[in-house]
Formats: sequence, C-alpha cells, structure tokens
Amino acid sequence: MAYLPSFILSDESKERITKIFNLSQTVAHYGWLPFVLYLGWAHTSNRPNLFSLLSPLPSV
Amino acid sequence: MSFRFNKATFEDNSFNEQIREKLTHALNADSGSGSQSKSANASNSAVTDEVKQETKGPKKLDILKSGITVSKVNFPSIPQLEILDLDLSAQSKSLLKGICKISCKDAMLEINTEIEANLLLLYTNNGPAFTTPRLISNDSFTVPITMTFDQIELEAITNIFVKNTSVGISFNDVNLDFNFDCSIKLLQSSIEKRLKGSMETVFKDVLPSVIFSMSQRWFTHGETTGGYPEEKLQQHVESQSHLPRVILEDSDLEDLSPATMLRLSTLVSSRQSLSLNPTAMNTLSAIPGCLERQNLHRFNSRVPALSNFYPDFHAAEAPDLKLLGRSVSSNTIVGGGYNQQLNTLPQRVLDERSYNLNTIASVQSRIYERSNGDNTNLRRRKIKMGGRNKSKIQVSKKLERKASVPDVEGIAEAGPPTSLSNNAERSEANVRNTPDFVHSPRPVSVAQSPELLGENSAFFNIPHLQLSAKAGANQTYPVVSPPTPKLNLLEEAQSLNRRRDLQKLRSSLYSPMRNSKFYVTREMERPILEHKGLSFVGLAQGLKWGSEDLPPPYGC
Amino acid sequence: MIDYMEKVLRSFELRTGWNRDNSYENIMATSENLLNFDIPTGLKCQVSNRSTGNTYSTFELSNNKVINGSLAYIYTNCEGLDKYLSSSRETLLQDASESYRQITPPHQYRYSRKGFESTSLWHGRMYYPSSTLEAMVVKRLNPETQLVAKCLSSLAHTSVLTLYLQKDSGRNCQEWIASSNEGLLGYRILHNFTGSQSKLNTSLYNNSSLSLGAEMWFGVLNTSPACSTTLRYCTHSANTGRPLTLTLSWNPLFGHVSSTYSVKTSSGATISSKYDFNLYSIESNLSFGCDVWRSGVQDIKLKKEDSAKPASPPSIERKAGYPDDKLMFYHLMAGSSNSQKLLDDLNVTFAPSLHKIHQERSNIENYESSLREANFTSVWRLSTSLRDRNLKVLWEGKYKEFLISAGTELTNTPLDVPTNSIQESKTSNGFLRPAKFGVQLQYSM
Repeated sequence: MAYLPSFILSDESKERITKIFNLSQTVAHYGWLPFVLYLGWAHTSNRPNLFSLLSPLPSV
Repeated sequence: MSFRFNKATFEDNSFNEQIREKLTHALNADSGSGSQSKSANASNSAVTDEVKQETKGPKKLDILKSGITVSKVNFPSIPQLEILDLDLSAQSKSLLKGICKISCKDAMLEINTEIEANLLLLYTNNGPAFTTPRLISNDSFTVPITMTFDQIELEAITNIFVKNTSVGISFNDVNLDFNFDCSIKLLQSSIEKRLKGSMETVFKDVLPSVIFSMSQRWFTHGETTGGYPEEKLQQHVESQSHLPRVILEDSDLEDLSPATMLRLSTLVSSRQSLSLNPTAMNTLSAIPGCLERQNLHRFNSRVPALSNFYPDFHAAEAPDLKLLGRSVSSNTIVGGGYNQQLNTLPQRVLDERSYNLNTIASVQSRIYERSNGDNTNLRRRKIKMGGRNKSKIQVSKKLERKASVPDVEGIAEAGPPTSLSNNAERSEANVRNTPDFVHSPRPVSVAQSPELLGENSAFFNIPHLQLSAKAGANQTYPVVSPPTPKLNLLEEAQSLNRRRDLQKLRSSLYSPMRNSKFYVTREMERPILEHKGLSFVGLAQGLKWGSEDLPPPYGC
Repeated sequence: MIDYMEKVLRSFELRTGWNRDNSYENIMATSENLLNFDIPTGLKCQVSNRSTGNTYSTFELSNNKVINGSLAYIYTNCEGLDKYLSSSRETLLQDASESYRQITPPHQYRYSRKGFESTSLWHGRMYYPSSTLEAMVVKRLNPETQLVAKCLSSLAHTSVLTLYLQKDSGRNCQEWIASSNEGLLGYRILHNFTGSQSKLNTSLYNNSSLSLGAEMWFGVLNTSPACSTTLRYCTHSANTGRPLTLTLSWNPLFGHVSSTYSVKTSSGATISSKYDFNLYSIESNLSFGCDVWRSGVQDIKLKKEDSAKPASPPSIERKAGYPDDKLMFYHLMAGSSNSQKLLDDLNVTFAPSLHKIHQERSNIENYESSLREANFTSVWRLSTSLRDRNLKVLWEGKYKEFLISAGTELTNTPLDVPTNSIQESKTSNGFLRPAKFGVQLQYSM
C-alpha cells in the first residue's frame, strides 16, 4: 500500500486496508485446512464424523 | 587516551604489506560466519571503509563464492592524524574527549573475489521449494572480479570519547573520494553507486559500532593474562619494544589498558589549572597517589636513606652515578642525566666520623619495614669486623638500589641537580611542624595502612636521630664500611625480601581505587612518569599492568 | 520415495489425463531422479490414510535436531483415484520410487475428451510448530489446460504465491508461471516433433520421441533473467528393447551446456551420466548415477497378479485402453468388405517388414511387461559427482507394510565452512564424511 500516492488513499484508509489485508491473510492461513476438510466432508455422501475425517491414523 | 604514533612504521613498505594481510583477514572474517572475533580488526584503518560495505550491499544472499583477497595496497604517503582538541575534563563517566582529523591521500587498494553471476539461482535456491518452480540448466556461474580503488582520499573529523569501558567515536565531517575501477564493466556503475550510497551508513553506524564493540572487548578482555610471570613479561616487553608496530589488531590494542588511560588522564588533568602554584606547599601532590615532578625532591627526602640524614654533608658532593655500577631502571628511553639519590653516607660524614650507628640502624630497619609490609620482625645479624667490608658494601648497594626511585628519574631532566640540602632542611621543617605530613603518599586502600603507620612512627624519630648523630661524631671509619666495634649493635638486614621497597612505595603512590575490573601490572609504572608534555604522555607498548596495582582515582 | 500426497496428486493427474512428462519442467526428470535424488534428513515418519472417498490425510513427524510435525489434507472431487493408489502394503516399489521415466510418445497418449469433467484438487499442509501453511489448488479447466496455484503462507515471513497455467495440446505444452517471490515471471514450452508416427520413420514401429523445449524467466524485482533450451530424445534400443534417454540442454546466458545419457540396462538396473560444461569459464563436471533393483520372491508376485491389477503402472493402463495393436494400419480398415482382402494382400507383401515390426514391438513390450511385473523389494541408488566430490547413497525398500528409504551423502568438503571463506583451498584430505543422513518411514493405508 505504501507505493500508492497519498492523494488516492488517505493514511487512515491505507492503514485500514493494511489491517484488513493482514486479517484476511490470517483467516486464510488458519482457515485453509478446515476449509479443505469441510469440502471433503460436504462432498462425502455419508457425512463422516469429524474424527475420522481429521485423523491421519488409518485404524478408524 | 594514550598512544604512540610510530611514524617510521609508515615509511617503509612493510606497512602496506601488513595492511594487506590484515585487510584480507578482516574481510574474510567479516563476510564469514560473523562469530569470529577478528571481525572488526581493520576498522582502525580508515581505508577499509569502502571495502567493508562492498560486502554488505548484496550480503543477505551469499553472492560471494570465494574469499576476498586484497591483492594490492599502496599508501604512498603517510596517513596524517591531527589532534585538534583534547578535552580531559574528568567527569564521572567520560574520561577523555578528543577531536581528531584523519587524512590520507593517494592510497590504492585492489581486491579480488569471485561472485555468483547467476542471480536467479541464488534467489531460487533461497526461496521455499514448494512454491519455487524448478529451472532447467540453472547452474551456478562464478565470475572472478577485481575491484581497484584508486586515489583514495579521506579526510574526516572524528570525535573520540573514551569512557570507562569503551571508546566511542563519531565521524563528523567525512570527505572521501576515490576512483573506482571494476573488472566487469557492466557492474561498475551499479557497484559504484551502491558504494557511494552506503558510505554514509558506514561512517554513521557501521564503523562507530564496530569500534565501540571492539573497544569493549579489549577493555574487558585482558584479565585472563593477569597471572603472567614477570620475567616473561619483561622479555615480552623488551622484544616488542624494538619492533615498529602498527596498532591495527585488538591484540595490539589490548596493551593499552584502561588503567593506563585512567592514570594518564588523571595525571594530565591534574596539570590543567590556571594556578601558578598548583601544589600545596606541604603535600607531595595535589592528587593522592600522584607524584609531581616539582615535588620529587621532597619525596626523595622522605625516603629512608642514609643520605637524607646528613644533608649538610651531602650537599657538597656531586651525585656519583658510577658508584651505582648500573642503572637501576631499565628504562632506556630517558637516558639523560638524572638526579640519583645515593643511599650512602656522604664522604664528609665518614671523614669526620659524625655519624651515629643508631641512626644508620634505624634507617636500615625502616627500609626493611618498608620493603616488606608484613609482620616479620627485623632480625639483625652480628658482623664481625675485618674481612666483612665487602659484604657491607654490597648491602649498602642493595640499599641504595632500593631507596632510589626508578620512576622518578624519568621525570628528572638534564638540568642542574636540585640542591639536596635545602630540600632536606625543608623536609625537616615539615617533619617538625606537621606531624601527619605523611598524608601525601597516603594510600586509599585499606591494605596499605599498617605500613603507613609504621612509616609514620618512624618519621617521628627523625629529630632525635639527628641529634644523636652528632654525638657519635668522634668515631673514624673507612668510607664505605660503617661497621665499627659497636657494630654488634647492628644487625644486618639479611633477610631483606626480594620485593623491592619501591613497589610498596609505589602502590601507595598510585593510590588505587580498588576496582578489580581493571587489569593492571606494575610493570607499567615507568612509562607513566615519562610524560614530556602536558597533553601527551608517551607510552611504551606491550606493557602489562599487574592486577594488584590499581589505577589512580579520577574526579576526586 | 514419493510421498503419499505427491502420489495422490500424480494419480489425480493420471486420472484426468494430464501427462506429467510432457512438461518442460520434467524434461530432465530421468537424470534428475538418478543423479540428484533426495536424501532424507533425520528421522521421518509418515502415516497416511484415505479417510473418506475424497479426502486423504497424512501425518508426519520428523526429528531433525528438533521435532517437527505436519498435517496434510487433500480433497479432490475426482472419482476413481483408487485405481492408481494403493496402500503401502500392496504398492509396487517401482511405483513408489522415482527412477527412470519412461516417456510415452504423444501419439500413443490420447486421453478421452468426451468424458472430461472439470475437476479440482485442494491440498493443505500445516507445519508445526512454525505453523507454516502450504496450500495448493489444482484445477483442470478443460482437457488441455490446468491451473495450479501454490501458496506458502507464514505469519512470520513473507508469503509466496505461485501460479501456473499449463496448456498441453499433446504436441505442444506451454506454461505460464508467475511467482510473487522476487516477482518471477516465466514461460516454458515443450514441442514434440514426433507428434505423429509418419515422421521420422526410421522404424515402422515408432516408439521414440524427440522433444525440444525452452524456458524463459525474468525476476522483476531483481532484474535477473534466465533461460535455457533442451533437446530430449527417447527411444528403445531395437535389439533388446531397452529404453534410453538423451538430453542436451544449453543455457545461452551463462554458456552452460549439459548433456545426459540414461539407459535402463536391464530390468533391474539404470545408469545415468551427465556431463556439464561451461563455454565461458571452461568449467566442467561429470556426474554418474545408477540404481540397482533387487527382486524378491516370486510367489508374492503371482499372488499379486490377480488382486493388484489396478496397481499396475498407469501409463501401461492407458495404452491398454487404446487399440494399440492396430496402431499401424487402422486407416486401412475403412469398413468395406474387400478391405479385408486388401489387408491380406498387404500382409503378404509386407510380411517380412511386419514381422520385423512385430519382433521389435514384442521385444519392447516384453521388456516393459517384465519391468511392470517384477516384484522388487529394494533398490540401491548411488550417485557421485567429480566436481563436488561427493557420494550419495540411498536405499529404498519395502519391509512388511512400510516403505523405507535411508540414505546418506558423503563428502570431503568441510560442512560448516561457508562458501566464501578463504580456507577453502586446503580442504580435500581424502576421506569422506557424512554430510547428511536420514531415514524415512512411510506407511499408508
């Protein structure tokens, strides 16, 4: 955001945008794995329980 | 701050060679792991500046594929160091402030190294493997590069602060100019631009911090070598004193102990006064632990010696140096005439037999007491007359040596010897008038106090002794053999300790602030008194301070 | 050893008809596999599982001074991957380990365009304790294009996003790559000259392929370019049917030329050599690598023959799906009744040459089937390089239900000395020290 000239964006909005950007990155960072798991859960017909979806161990 | 600027070092080519080696060393250590302690070596030489940040520019990616070698260094003219101002105001923290002007001209420097030309390889190797696409046939390609710095002209005004544990330096007005030539013409302009762009940070941040950290290291470093045997040190000193050396490495700089700086600055600052008569009449020095040159005779007169008790007789004699056989001090720097106090009875006294054996005995015992401060009792051995003269001579010589002040002779100039009789008279007057005159060499340290008391009490006897000296004037004896039939009263101070009298004396002289952090040896004492001017004190290199001896106080 | 997640990805590509070997990135895959194979560091354990029909998970623990772990999940909406995936108990070692890449000529490699669905694969892997995230999305847009987005996200450092747009038309494969790391932009292309068999018909049964590729890169942020071009020729030796691959690549920017020659000398051994030469600095390097496969007892193989039919290598699978036998003369079979007569005439006329073709092909196919059906239990890999003076040793094998790979790299250059130190010259004192050592255990179900 820093390279934008100041007449396009004021400082506050720049700051806000940076904050939003950081927040969304954090959300995407931690939300990615749940998202992938949700996709798997939603597209499986018998809707497995969460534990069998999460567990990497093959016993269950 | 004390240093010796050895001009001769810069006049032959060995200087250039040394610079070259040290630069190579420093550059490679610097660009290496960084944990090596030698990293900051070259910072003393202002010439290294350009080189240093050259490695700093694209440093984060390791573009250098080999070590940096400095192939040529040429300083046709001597770098000049001009001290513009020196402020020795002894505030509590900062000891010395100085402004220096450093300039060197027409220097030349050539550096060889190898760089990685395939930048993309560096970047892709650095990036995470997961997201970095694989490139085919993307091997490294190293290019040797030679950089030549021509006509380096540096002019800088620096502020130097010497503090308790470190040296701060700041560059105020830096004029640096050089011609840059690079073997890869493609890169020349960009490298040159980077060099000039980062020059400011080098002088503002890099160099000061490097010097600061380096000074911190050598201010606190020397403790490990504290228990050095004295003989070794002596040899070390002697062997080193002949070599012209450039102080570039911190091992060199270690020799300048902070205690030295403290002492010197205190000494020098003690002279900074507008008063015409700076020292009080009845004291040996204005600051405790320091002996000033004009008070030397007073000091000498109080040293227990045979000569001090017969001032009237002594005045007629010229000091006979040859009698000593050898110079007491190994300080060869000041070889000029000096006023040697002889610990002998004046010839006239012996001729007229106006001495008193009790006096001599008391002098000897006092010398003995001074020489070893512990509680060993003085044991005298009876000496039979006849055939024992020689041994007595030896003893007396020993005493002479102990009573003489090796340090002090450095101060003495070739001028006419001070008239001893007057001094002695004055000191006598002092003795009578002020019973506690001994405060002048008063040691601050508690450890010295028992000796002091003994000394004190000894001085009270002086009038009495002098009176009794006249009583025994009718006895006649050969010159250097005071032993008499009455000599059985005397006992020779056979068990004189190896420790010199003056060591004790000195340790009270340099009344120490006990601060075990400093690293001091007593071998350093000679040079201290060697100062020739107000602002500078010559300092022999390579001398160590013993840990027992301590720096003078400052700011009090 | 190929990770389970990597295998899922490759299965996905196979299932959706994407030819991995038809990319410039993998043009030197054979020699890379044989010369620059990865050696695990420390101890690494992987447990993988197909948790549901569409999701796969892997849990990994590695001990390299500190204990690290990672959790990986894949979701894909592509059905039928189980044909290509098998558990570590059933899988064949030659499928689990990367070795000689058999290049299938593109004219033999046709995927059905009719039943194409736009499928996608979502992958996420979180590393602990650094909590770095690897995210990847692979999307098949249409039969010829694939979009790959890879992202490395970490909260402490900068995140990197790389996008690949790949278009593979069989004869040409083009890729556009953009990466946020140093602003890297790239384009690469691979062209197959033997797109149809009529060209270069030195032999009627043409199983060879000649490919030429090039790549161009430009780092925007550091303004550093890179480019290279590579020629690859794959063929089978006519007598024995053994495959060999030759590549010649050239980096015109830095004058780097490297040539590789890899041959599978028998079903159980591969040899690869690589010679690098720099035109400008006249530096050269010779690398040599080989692997030796050891087969186990035969009865296990027979038992597997029945059950593990889908586990056979997918390239063969593909070929089997295609009417391969009629490859040479399918255009002659144009419906009419007398065409059969014509065919008979032709058969008589070309009998010797057809016989020759058949023999060649049977040679090759026998060889391939022997390779496919072999039941290897372990493989030794060695590689060495003259300039680097190192020796890499890797053992991969199956033990019970585990896939194990253990390897070490021996070198006689000092380990900790940075490259730009001046002591470099006085090293090589003759004996080799291990620079790297590791064991990897893999279990999947």
